[in-house]
Amino acid sequence: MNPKLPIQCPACEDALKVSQLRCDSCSTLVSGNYSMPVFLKLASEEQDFILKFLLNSGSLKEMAKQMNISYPTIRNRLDDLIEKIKQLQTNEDSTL
Amino acid sequence: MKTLLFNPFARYSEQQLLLFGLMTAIAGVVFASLTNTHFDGVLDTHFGQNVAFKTAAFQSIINIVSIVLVFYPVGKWINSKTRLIDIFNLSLIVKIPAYFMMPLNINNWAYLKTEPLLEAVSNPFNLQFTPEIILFLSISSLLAIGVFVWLIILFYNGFKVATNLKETKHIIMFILAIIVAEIVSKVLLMIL
Repeated sequence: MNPKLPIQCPACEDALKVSQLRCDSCSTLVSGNYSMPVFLKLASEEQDFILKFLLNSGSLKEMAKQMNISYPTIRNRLDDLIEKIKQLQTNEDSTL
Repeated sequence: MKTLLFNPFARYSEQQLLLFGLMTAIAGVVFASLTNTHFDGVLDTHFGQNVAFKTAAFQSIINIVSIVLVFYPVGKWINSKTRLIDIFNLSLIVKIPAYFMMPLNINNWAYLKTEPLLEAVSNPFNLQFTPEIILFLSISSLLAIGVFVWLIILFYNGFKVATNLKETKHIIMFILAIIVAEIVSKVLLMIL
């Protein structure tokens, strides 16, 4: 099983931050308070979509064929994702 | 199946929709002339006695033109990425539910049943509702309601996919666009 990285607090639904990192080979622990990159703040389906977009050299038509859905449906998903990323970036900038 | 019936626009490519839409539009014109059915408006279906192939084709073209003329600018206004091909495919596909009304007028059956009723409207005391007429009116009304609901769902889903509409004001614009397209089609059929 490959557990999904939680991005939202299960209690209050606020964005989670990274507080600890561990080296698997020497077990060194690094503690701190790190913000997650925008890409990791997206849902796993959205991350998959971006990966597919990249692997298809940005061709929405090719993606539509692969995913067996229409071109405007893919384009709408991309537009929604762009909006979401812009929103996340705005939120990130306002918290700095 | 649900996607195929109510939202083929989300799944099928523009080439598939165009091919299917053109085939059904041509078949629709042929059957409209065979069953003497008038599609004289974006939302209209009426039964007649003699509908020539030329008349059926002309009404079909006017309906397509009216939808494209109204919905393309509205779509562009909602989302500048709206494509003409998606609106054109929408204009072809949304008429399919109405084609299911045509079997009612095989051998002018619906026309011959309803014409005496329409003529008697001026003198309601002469109206005679035989069990056959009541059965016909019940079946045709239920079919017409089903067809209308299916048509509106297809219309909304097709326009939603083409424009990515989400906001309430866009939904209101969609409703207004249907009314305007209906008026445009009626005016064009009247003056041309």
